[in-house]
Amino acid sequence: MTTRLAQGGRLIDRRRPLAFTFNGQAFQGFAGDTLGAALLGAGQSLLGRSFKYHRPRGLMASGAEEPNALLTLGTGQAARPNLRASEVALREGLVAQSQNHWPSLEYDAGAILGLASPLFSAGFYYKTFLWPRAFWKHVYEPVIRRLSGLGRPPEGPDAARYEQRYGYCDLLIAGGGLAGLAAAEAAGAAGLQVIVAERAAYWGGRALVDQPEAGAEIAARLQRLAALPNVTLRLHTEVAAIYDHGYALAVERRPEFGEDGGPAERLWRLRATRVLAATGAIERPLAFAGNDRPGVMLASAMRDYLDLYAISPGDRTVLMVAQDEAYLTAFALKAAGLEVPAILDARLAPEGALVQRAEAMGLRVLKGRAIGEVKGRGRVEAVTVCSAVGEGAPLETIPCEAVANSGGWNPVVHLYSQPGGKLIWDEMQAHFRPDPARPPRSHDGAPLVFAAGAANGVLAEEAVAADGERAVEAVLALFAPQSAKAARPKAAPPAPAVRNPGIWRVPAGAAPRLRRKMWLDFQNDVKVSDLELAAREGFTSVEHAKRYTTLGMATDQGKLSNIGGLAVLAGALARPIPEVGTTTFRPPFTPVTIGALAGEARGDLFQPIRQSPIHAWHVAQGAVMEPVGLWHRPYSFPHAGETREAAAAREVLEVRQNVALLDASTLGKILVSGPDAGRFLDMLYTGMMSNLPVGKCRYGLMCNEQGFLIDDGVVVRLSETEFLCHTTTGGAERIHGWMEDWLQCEWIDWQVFTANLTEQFAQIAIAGPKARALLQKLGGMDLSPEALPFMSFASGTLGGFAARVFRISFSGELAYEVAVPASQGLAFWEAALAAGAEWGAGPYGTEALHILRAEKGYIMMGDETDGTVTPLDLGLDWAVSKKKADFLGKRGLMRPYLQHPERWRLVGLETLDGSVLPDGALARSGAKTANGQDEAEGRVTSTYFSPTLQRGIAMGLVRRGPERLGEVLHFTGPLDGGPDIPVRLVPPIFYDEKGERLHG
Amino acid sequence: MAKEVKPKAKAAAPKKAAVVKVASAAPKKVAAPKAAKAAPKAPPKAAAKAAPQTLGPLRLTRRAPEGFLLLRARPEGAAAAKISAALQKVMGLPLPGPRARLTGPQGRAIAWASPDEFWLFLPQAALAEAQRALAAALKGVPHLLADLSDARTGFLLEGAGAEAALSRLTPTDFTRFTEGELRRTRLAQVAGGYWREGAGFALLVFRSVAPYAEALLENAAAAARADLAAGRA
Repeated sequence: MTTRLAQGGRLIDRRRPLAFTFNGQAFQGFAGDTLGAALLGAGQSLLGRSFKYHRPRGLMASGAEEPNALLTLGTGQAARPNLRASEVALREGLVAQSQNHWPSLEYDAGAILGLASPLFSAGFYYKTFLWPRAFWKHVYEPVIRRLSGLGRPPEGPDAARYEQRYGYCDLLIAGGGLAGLAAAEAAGAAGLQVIVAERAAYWGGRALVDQPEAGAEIAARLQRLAALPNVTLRLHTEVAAIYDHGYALAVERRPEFGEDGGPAERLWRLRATRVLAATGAIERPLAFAGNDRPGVMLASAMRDYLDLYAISPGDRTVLMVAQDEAYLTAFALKAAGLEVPAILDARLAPEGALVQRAEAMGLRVLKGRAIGEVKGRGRVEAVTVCSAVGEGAPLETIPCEAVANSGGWNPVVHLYSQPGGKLIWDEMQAHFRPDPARPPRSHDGAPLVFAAGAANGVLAEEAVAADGERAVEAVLALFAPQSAKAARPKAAPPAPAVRNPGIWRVPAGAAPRLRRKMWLDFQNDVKVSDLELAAREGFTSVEHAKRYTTLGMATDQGKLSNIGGLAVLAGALARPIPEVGTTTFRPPFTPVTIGALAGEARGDLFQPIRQSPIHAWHVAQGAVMEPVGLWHRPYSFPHAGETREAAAAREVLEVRQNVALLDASTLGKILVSGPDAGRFLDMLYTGMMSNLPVGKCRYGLMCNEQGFLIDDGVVVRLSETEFLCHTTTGGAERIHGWMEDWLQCEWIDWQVFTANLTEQFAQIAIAGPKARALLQKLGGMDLSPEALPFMSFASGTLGGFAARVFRISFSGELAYEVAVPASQGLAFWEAALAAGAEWGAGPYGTEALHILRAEKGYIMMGDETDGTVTPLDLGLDWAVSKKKADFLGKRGLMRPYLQHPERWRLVGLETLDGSVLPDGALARSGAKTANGQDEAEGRVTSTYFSPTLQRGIAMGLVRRGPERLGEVLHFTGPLDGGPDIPVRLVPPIFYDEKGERLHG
Repeated sequence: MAKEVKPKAKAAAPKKAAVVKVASAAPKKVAAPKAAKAAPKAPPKAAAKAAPQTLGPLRLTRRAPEGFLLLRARPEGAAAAKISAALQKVMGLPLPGPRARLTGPQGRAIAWASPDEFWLFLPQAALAEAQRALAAALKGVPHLLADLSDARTGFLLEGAGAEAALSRLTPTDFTRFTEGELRRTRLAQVAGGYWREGAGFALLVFRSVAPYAEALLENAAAAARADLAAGRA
């Protein structure tokens, strides 16, 4: 059993005990503990269940690579799932829960899956669930989902606060171990702006534990760094991702979890000119039978828990090693007064200094021996010893409580690899390390990311700091090439003293029974036998084998398993490891919460809502608001007891019978000015604009190059060189960008300037037979039909407001749109309402607007168009110039397919019984498609109940539609099974066909 | 705040000195991107960190409405002198260089907003006359001149932690952002522009998103204030 020793613990403060709970049970730890250390100290070594087989699991590591001990912290809205116990700082009152088990951690029903594990081999899902198809949705998936999965998201809105910050530096150093700190000092002294991010809660990295004499050096370096104002040091901060051009994401996970008013997490969006990856190395486990039992740990992690938190892994620890440094664990255990019954070294004749020291101390070093199998249920009870080169026959059994194991070290090459740096295979140390000849490069062709220390494959502790300084020399050379010439190049790091033979699993000839118990990926339950099966079944690419077996696809992304897995694959394929290669290292280094990615964008700040100058009035009147792009516009203004639909119908009649007001401020207004403005608009619009007389308005259509409609609106000629182009509400920014695109990239010599005036003006439509009377009552301008005929405009002072009055209509009634400065919008709106009081003038919303235009057969972008519709499809030939030599979309429209007589074209639709057609209904042709489905020959694009006509009206696109007027088609849907609705094709204009009402 | 600028024929670049600069160890020229590559030889001096108490608490206010004219024109060839002369005559200021915002007498300022776009700030009372005078002075030079005084809403974010607050919303390296520079960029999800003013920043956003921007800035300011109170970096 794990326990807390009475002495020691470099990071803990025994005078400050902290109470916390785990699965509802009360525990105690100390300030400075990680949650994992505190649980181990309290004897709790079973911390979770594996993903697939629900096997009992405990802590294996002391850092980011921990695959097993994923816990949920907090409850309800404050729940935070999938946190690694090895990294969570202990806090008073912390509530932790284990995951992935039912009904309890100790007795998990899902563990029965483990008994059936021979059935769940690699590719199990692919092989099993192909048939019958319906079973997947209704049987397999629900069952699998219940049994699998890790933590659960918070219930309700996440209570924690998150934020993002931007930061800039010349050099971003990822990792605050000896290499990182030495590099920071060198770069800081040279005057670079430096940020050092360390993901752990302390500085010094491995040196803190493995080099007792380095403590003073670390402290001294930190003191000197604190005096440099150009160096920023951040603990708890992980550099998670490096992208092109030095854009980096770093996640600051604050141990306070927001208890102190600060954010729980902060996402740093950094722009670094260069990056130094001083991210250290991850010890790699050996694969041996039963290596997933709680009590089996990485040798370095065991040293960490012992040294930093005074955790005893158990009275007796057996070491299973294939490299020298792991012997340090034996020395540390002995120094703490614990027993090391044996060191099993898989190498036949290890002779390094540490091996000699162990033998000199009288430790039992068994060379060429390995663990045959770990014995014990739910925890380590004993190990059998076998020949490291044999099949696993037990030579003896050693009772023990813990196993420390190590096969070597894998440099953390993630940040070097993410933006494209290449790796080389280091034969001497049996690992991949950054290839200095093929670094990721920045925009200038110079290296973007450098590596130093263990991340660079420099494992000898005494050489690590110098490697950090060497890397900074290279960085500085890029900032000041002159001074670099003078600088003496640093000597290359010393060659490793001891060769790592590259042992991945023991014993070498293990029987299949043992290989099925040798775990590679602990979180996803992938074993040596799975990789070997994948190789036999032909998955010879490491990327394929990964996906087939799910190796390295868990939340830890294979930090412990990837290299071991590919080595096993290489062994099975009898190919050299570098030839098999690694899978791709993708960001982020560890999972980043959605909260951190969202930052402040939640609640009221989730998305900007654009508000018209009259927005507050609408809201105060109880308008039903609807989103249109990022704007919120009033859908209708219900009176007490009125539904939104009834309100819209009433508003329609108010326009038809008297007068009503629409807030049209959201319509795009783009000023196009310059000597070539007319020529420019002739290219942009399908119709002719250059011959529009000053003071006049003209409706225009815009197509993209393919000939499909993208926007429409009224163009006004303000002066000889100035046009005002109205766009749709959602189109203002897009069309402005479209104009600038053509001006800046194609017609660069044309003298045209544009400006988006949308927000400068409030624009109010005043529509209805009494519209003129209302405006005349406001007074100040001559709005008589002679002075201001249809499709013209005038500027002046209207009711005391500086105004532009456009006589245009989207309702078919006598109508005006009045533009006033936005700051005057509300005042003018209220003045106009007051002036219209005698006719009962009120506001109308977007739904009434839609119905009014549909009654007149006016098209609406986004209803009648969907990106595949041309002006000809909509019968708008009259707005497409035949005379112009060119315009955007002209060539596109000439394509035979767009000219084809079979195209679906716009018609009016009238149900025989006057009912309202369902939105999206389709016309059945009676034929079947090649797939045996009903063939459609038309669809509804707009459909409403017309309050004016007291029946349903609709428009739609129908094959050869305008040629078939009078025909009755059968519409259905849009979903299967609806009744067939007989519909007569009619001209798409339902009201006032002659357009007489436009004149009041 | 507004300093008079002597008339110059040439385009003027932003002033390098920053009044409220924080911890800028390596101030680099705005107009010369190459400077970013040259590493300072000597170790930097201790940061000239402005003491928070002299800046006062962080506060967000709306700026009073002011006149804003948008001028689009290409200051190339012969047009450059004509445009500069027109601005000098009407605004009392020369044509600004890239990213510069020049301030002149009586609340006037001109900012470079893009190679062919200039923002003219002036009192509302002077707007109509300036618009008329500019149109006259620019006769013969292709241009666009529009009153956009109502299109934007201005804020003032002043006090200790103003940079820390903005660094939550906008990608600017404030150690290299000098006084007299206009930055057009974004604030979280909306477009925005800002420059250093007083003990902080003046900001402009589009009118329709002013409520969003106000809540956004308040939220960031609250976070910056909390950090400052707790002594967090």
